[in-house]
Amino acid sequence: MHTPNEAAHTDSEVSTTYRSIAVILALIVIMGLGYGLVDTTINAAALFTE
Amino acid sequence: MASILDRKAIVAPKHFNRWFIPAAALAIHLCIGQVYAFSVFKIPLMSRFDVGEVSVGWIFSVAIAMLGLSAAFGGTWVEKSGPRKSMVVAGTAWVLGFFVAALGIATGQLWLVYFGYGFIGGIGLGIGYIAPVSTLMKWFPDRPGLATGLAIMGFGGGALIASPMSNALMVLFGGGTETENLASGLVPTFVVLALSYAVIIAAGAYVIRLPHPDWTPDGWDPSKVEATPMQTNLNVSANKALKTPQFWFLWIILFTNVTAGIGILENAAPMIQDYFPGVTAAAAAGFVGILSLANMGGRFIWSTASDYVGRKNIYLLYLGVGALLYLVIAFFGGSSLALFIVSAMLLLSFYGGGFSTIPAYLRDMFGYYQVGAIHGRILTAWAAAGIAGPLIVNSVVESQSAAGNQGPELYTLSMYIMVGLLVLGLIANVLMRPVAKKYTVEYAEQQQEVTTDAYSK
Repeated sequence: MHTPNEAAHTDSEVSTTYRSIAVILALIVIMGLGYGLVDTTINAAALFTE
Repeated sequence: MASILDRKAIVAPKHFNRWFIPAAALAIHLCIGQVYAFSVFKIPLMSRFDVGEVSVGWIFSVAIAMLGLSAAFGGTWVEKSGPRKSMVVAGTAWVLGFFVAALGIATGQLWLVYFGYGFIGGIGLGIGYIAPVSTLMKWFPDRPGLATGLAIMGFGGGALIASPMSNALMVLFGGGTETENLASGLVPTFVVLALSYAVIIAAGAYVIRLPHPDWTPDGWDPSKVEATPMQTNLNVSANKALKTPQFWFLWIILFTNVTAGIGILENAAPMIQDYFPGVTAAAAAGFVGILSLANMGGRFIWSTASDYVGRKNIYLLYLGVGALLYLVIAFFGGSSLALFIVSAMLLLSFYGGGFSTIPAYLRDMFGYYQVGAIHGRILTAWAAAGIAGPLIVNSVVESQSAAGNQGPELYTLSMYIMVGLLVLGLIANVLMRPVAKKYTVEYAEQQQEVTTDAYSK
């Protein structure tokens, strides 16, 4: 739910800083999830190899 | 005074790439999802404070209890304040909790760990859990299931990252893998985690945006939503939602689904070893890993599927097929390892899916208006299930063990109880109907207009 005032305070486009931080954050999220998934998959493999 | 934390400071331009937003939502959920990896600190903390498992276990319990309470009572504030302010408050509480807990560990004061990680950190958990969910739904009105699946998948993924990272940090700072090494590495590990989470949550709060009032997804026609019988375009306030039977049916659905999942999750390692005595401890730990992946995958896959098949139908799957799978484990689980693993994986994927689909179900029933606040209130079902699930399974195992039973027999009765609970949830889901118009904000406004007109005549 927005008031008309909220729209008045917006910029016309996003800044380069915003875009850069958003991309870096996305990379951190993807790398973190990848690290966690690989580690868990290696541990899970023990169920079939032990 | 206007602030960069206010809602109006974060309204996006009319033409904005909405795919920037999931990273911000995932960032905070990945950080607070660390709570599911708390078990990696258990033995080092027991060694540091020279206490038993129960005393250390209370740290996690306090955190989860505070999650439920702060989500229930803070939901309305989160809706009013907007996602950036909420994320900053949640992040501050979460990070501060780590610092206070680190101080407690350094000074040998266990109560400071309860207060820091459990109480303060738990407030961060509750606020941080609900803050980005309603925002993502506003960005993905065409696919609310995908939106909530993305965010809540992060909460499951947080443990996958935090668990190996925390172990590696404790070994690094403690100088070895022995328990005393890990215990001496606790304080710097907590500090490094806190600083990492502070940076990531701050970046997420910077990136988060609310959609422009005139924005809609490309090619999406809101009028099509009206054609779906179980999705409303009207809005219900959080207080009014509590007065509808639909809220309580959904509470039962979430409670039964979570209780059934926790029943397996809490006892996964001993359970597989009791069913199959040849399974080693390392292989049992691998089974826990597989269930974590199923839990996380289910959060994304099933919630996204619910956009296509409908929320009511997907819960019929979670609850109906879930009950059948419990029966399969009860009757045939001990005969085949593959059957046991596949059944448990599906059950855990339904458990995860139940968490991530519930906000979209709430949106379908109560609209966008205060969906975050309603979501917060329904999470009390999670807190109740967190107590009920382990209590049922552990009590049954203890009583069966005392009666001289062993192996799969230890769990059979609890499987039947879970089937009963899931059938109860299934009935609640079958009874779900669209919310009566008299509960909506639009109806109240209409009534007010009628009254005003009557007085003005």
